[in-house]
Amino acid sequence: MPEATTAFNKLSTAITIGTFAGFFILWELVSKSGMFNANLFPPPSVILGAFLESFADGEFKRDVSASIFRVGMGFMLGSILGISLGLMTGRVYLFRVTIGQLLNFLRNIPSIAFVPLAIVWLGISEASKIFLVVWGVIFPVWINTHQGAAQINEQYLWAIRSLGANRMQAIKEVVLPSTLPFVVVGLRMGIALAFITLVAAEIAGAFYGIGYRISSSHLIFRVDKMLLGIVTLGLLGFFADKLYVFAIKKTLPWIEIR
Amino acid sequence: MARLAFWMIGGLIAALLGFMLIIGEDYSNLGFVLFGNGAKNQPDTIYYAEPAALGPVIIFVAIDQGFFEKQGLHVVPQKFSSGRLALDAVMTNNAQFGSTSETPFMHSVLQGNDVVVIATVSEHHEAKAIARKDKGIAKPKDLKGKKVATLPGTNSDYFMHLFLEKNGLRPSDLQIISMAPQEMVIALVRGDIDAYFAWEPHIFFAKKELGNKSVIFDSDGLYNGMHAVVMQREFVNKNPETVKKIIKAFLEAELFVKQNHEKTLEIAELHTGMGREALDGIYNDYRYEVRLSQELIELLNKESEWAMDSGVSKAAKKPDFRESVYTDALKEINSSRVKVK
Repeated sequence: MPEATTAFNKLSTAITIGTFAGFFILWELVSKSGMFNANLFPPPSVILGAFLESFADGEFKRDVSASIFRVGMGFMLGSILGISLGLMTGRVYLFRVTIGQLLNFLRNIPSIAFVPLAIVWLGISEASKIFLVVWGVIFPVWINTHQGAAQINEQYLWAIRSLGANRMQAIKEVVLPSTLPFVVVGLRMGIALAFITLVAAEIAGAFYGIGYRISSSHLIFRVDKMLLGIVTLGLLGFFADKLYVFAIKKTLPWIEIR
Repeated sequence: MARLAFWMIGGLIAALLGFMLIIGEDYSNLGFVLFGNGAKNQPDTIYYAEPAALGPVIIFVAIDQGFFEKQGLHVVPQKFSSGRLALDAVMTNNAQFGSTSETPFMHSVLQGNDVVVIATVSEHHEAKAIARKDKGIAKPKDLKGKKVATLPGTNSDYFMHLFLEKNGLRPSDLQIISMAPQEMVIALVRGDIDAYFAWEPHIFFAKKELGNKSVIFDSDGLYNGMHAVVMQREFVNKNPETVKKIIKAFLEAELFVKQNHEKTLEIAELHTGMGREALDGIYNDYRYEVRLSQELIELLNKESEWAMDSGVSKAAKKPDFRESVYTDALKEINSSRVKVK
């Protein structure tokens, strides 16, 4: 890597860290300024205290691992379904006018609307929570894959078929590579939506998890713990996205991702 | 490029102004924390944070029968799904008074919020437990080893603590699951759980579904909850006359409730959205009376001890709940209703 690029990357990292530090310092100062009720708007130092308390009694570890499991499972299943459906509706006319239209109708229904029904249908097991995360992930992945698969220049397909390639070879050599940049974007959106829907999912009969902890802390006026949950969700989503971008850069270096 | 930026910023400002115009006088509803006191303090207009519960029937009647208007107050109700959320509205100055069961109030004071009870408007034994007989539960001791749901930190959770203690059981004897009451009904009917502790009408709905396959454990005698009218101390100190007017309207409504059973139920149905069948089934769990009793202080003391001992609250020390009760207004209007030592 050229020296200038390395220096630029280091500068970018320093600026990002500085932005975060500045944000938390400003929050601390505003919260302690007396402008607002500190019970309702606690500073980061109080949230740090809540973190230490939760960490010491094992609550934080239990909540975070439960949430990561739900997000991970929901993201994986939602991605597989979204990509498969996107390829089908993007390339096959019959699927586009049947399943495609049905998915267009369903994608307007938010996960939260399914919270009570998820329990009726799937009970209070993990299945109901994972179902809700899948619901959040599947549509951005599907629509991006669909768009990518549908925009392929037909001339490329004719060319490869005229060279003797069969249907599977055409998919492998033309459809998948052309669709890949769209899939990458869809999956990135899916990661963010998995964390967003997690909170709705954990309202549905959860006994632990970050979303559950936010709502149960509200009942007992632990605003510090609510904010701990919110900050944790933000950080997990942030690092999941960074990890994803890193993985894409390493495995698919020809795809531009920032 | 500069032109594009100009139109983008202009468009953003126009959208923001349009948004504020549409929101109009309710602009202050955005004011969680950000917008302070006096967000809606038009003269004589008082906002009441109303929970969807049967505890505040006296307040519903005072609104519907114009008893607040008779006192020169224009009370505007703002509906909330629970007393806990109604209390949030009071603490963030989006309502001048709200009502809730004593448990959320206790948690609020434990966390250092400066709120006071100006009166209680009902006493109830709405907290109950329901269990499935077909899962082998006929008496309290049968709960041992069973999957039991509760919502931590609520008054029914406190009732569970008392109930288990009375029946020689420890929480570790049960498989305790945390769940919202509306989900408990479905989970019990589906058989995902064996029993749950909650409040009405969530017990009624499960009983209706399960019929003779279920058994109810009542809280009467063991735990009687109270529905409290809560205000910020700062508002009370600045507006003692308003507090008196509110209490006078409550007292007139109390008389109405005692004399007009049928009309009261109609008003309760209108405000809570509960069906008449559910109302008829649970209305007798409530006793409507405006008062401030020593029982309230003792209940708050006991509940706070439980919250601290069980780890539900991390408060360092128990507050003096006598300071969280504003007796002046009710005492001046009808001193016999105040029995706080």
